[in-house]
Amino acid sequence: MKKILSILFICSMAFVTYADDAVEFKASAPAQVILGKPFQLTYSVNQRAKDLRAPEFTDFDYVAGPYTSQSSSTSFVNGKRTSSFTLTYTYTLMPNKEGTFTLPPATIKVDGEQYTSNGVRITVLPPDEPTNTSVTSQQSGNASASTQQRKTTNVNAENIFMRTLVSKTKVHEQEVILLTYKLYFAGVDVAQFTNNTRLPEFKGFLKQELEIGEIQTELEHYNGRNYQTAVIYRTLLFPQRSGDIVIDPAQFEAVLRVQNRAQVRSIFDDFFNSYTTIAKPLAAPSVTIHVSELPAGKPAGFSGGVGQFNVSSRISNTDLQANEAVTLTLTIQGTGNMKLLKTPAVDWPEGFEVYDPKVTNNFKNTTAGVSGTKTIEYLAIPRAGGTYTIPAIQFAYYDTQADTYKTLTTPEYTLNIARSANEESNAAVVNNFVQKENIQQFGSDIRYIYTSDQPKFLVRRGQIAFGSLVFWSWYGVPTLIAAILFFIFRKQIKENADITRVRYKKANKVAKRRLKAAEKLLKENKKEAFYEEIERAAWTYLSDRLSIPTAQLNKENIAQILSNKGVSDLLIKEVHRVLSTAEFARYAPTSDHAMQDMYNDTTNIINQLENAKL
Amino acid sequence: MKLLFIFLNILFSQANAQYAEGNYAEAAAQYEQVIAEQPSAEAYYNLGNAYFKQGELAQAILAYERALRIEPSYKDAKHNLLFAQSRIVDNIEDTQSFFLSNWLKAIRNALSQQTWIVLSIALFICMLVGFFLFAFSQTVWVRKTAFYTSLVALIISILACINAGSLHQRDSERAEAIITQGIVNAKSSPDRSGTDLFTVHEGTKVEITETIGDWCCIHVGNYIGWMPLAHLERI
Repeated sequence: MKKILSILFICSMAFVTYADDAVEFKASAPAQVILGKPFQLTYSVNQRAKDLRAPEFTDFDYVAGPYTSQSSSTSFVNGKRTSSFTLTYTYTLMPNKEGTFTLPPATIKVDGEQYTSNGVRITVLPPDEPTNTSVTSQQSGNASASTQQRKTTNVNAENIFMRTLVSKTKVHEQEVILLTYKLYFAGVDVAQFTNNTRLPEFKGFLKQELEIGEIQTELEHYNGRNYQTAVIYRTLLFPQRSGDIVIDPAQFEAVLRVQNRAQVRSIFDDFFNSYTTIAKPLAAPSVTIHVSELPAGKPAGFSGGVGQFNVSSRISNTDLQANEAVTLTLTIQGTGNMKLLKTPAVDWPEGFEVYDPKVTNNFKNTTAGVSGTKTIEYLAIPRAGGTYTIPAIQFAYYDTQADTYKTLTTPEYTLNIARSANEESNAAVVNNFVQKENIQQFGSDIRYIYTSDQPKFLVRRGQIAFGSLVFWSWYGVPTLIAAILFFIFRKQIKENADITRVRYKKANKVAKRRLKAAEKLLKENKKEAFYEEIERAAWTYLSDRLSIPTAQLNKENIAQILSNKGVSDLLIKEVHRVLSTAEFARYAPTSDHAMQDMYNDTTNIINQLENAKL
Repeated sequence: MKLLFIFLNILFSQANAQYAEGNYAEAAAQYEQVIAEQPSAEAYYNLGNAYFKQGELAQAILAYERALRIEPSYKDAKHNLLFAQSRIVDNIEDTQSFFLSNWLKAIRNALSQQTWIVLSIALFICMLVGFFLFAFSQTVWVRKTAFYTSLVALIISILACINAGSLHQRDSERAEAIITQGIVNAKSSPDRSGTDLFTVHEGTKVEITETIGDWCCIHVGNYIGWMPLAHLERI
């Protein structure tokens, strides 16, 4: 069947290439061969060619060839003529040792030009081992009997069975597992591979089926025998919880073609082999997956990703105006549980209106897991001017190869946002943000600028800088002047005070001297001079005693001054009378007796004043 | 010197003309030139107006604040500052500071540093005169009055000097600043990885208490946080 397919394929390829007149030179051989069994290696070319140079078959025994065959076809489709031509060289080779070998490319000449074929990789499987004792005996006994046995063999579990293959049985949560249901058969003719399939529920897993396409068989050596194998079902599983999860057996059914056993041997046997088809139920065994939790110490911002990832980021614009949209694109590329990745959050600065990110997935299911790219576009609109930094996006995942958490970081972006040209919209935005409770009422606008033809500020005023020398001297100089003045004044006062004190102390003496002089004048009876001396004695005494210059004293204020000094009213009256009399008597006729009284009175008041504390 | 004043006078008049015609950007640039030569309350005030008309709230507030630094009793500047502040987003009320300190601050800010200095010196000289009267007067009531007057004068002079010193310190520290960036997040530590504590908007007045490299610690209302120095400008 495979051969037919490959021939069809080659034909179709040749068909196309011939039409294009391009040379197609191809080598083909079965991918798996069994040790000791010959196989065919073919080189096909879609042009007339010559001088094929096959590589040296060092790993294989050369059996026969090359046999050349050629075919051509011409067809008309919708009035178009297309023709194809194929030239085939066939070698028969025999593997002589186990292993995987690569046949190097061959060369061929087409119109004088040299072309090279592809290399071919061939795996040589060991031959069947005689596991079954009955088979062994029969084989050793009679080779034909063995053939007979093979032909009429029972459809038993050794000849046809299902296997459940998992890529891993010990995994972490979210780590991808590839589960394959594979049919193994040998010596039976499988007409149809699947029918009435009942798959388990895969509880505890997220399932991601893989497309198989047309079922293809290949040889595989298993348990000492070479089986034809076919992948019936293949899926990716992502464990969603930890613990031992049992995958229940799967039920398949294969339709087998079996030669009728109860046949009558006749000469027609070989021509009319009668077959019946039987449905063979097949169970793929259950399998247990040990799912462990992801290790502790999940980094902040863990995306839930398990596998291998890579991130890159891009920004649409870094210099823009307010109210202009900016797009940050984050691309996550990798293999793992791509579908379950959380969208990483972008920590936009304040003042950005942020919209829901747009996520575009471009995934491909491969046997290694879901791989591809997840593109996240974050859209935001800055509403105010300034310089803002979009911090790095952290993408943390669990690396299944390194068995550790890894954190990937995108670069930081600095946005220079100019104030919006549209003033009104800007103001509107500002107003939107204002959420004050106590709104104060003001005028509708600011007050107008200061306008003056002769601005007063242009006249430089003397400035006293705080703490400067000028500043301190404004305190220091007056203090100094004050201090100097203070000392001068004080000295003066002191001196003055000394004079008055002397005069105060000498007052009595001076008065006595003047009175003595007056007494002399009294005896001489010089009336005018006597009164003058008396009056002077009185005034001088008062002046000295009161420390007031004589010029400042007169009859009018003397009473007041004396009163203030606490002199008794009687004495003041007496003083007043003496002074009045002395002044009056100088120019009036008086008796000697009066002059004597005057002298006594004056002496008397001076004595009394001396006793009074002035 | 005289020539410079004539030049500044012309520049100032030109700027006023530009402002009157609505060319606020040109006017602002010319006011800036005037200020570069001779900082004055009036020029700052006009600059603030020019910025306000361009919608640059933070710059306008900054200029008004500077005008009021030079002349605290500038009524127009006060009015426009309040008007500009009513347009900013943040409504920050300082509830933590004691009412007495607020009063003292208000008294301090009521007069300019220069006025306080002149007041202090004048009162000091008054005190000296009073002292003389007290020391040398013969009359009792003159001596008594002079004594109490000079005592009061001395106290007020010292207080005025303290105020002047406080203003001088404020002006030389330049601890107060205005947010110039539209929206800023204050962080818990002076680096970008710090937790976002609160958001302040353009035009808000904050106090810088500490700077580390490009970062400064700001106090605004009852909040304390770190932000890059580039996002604000000192008054």
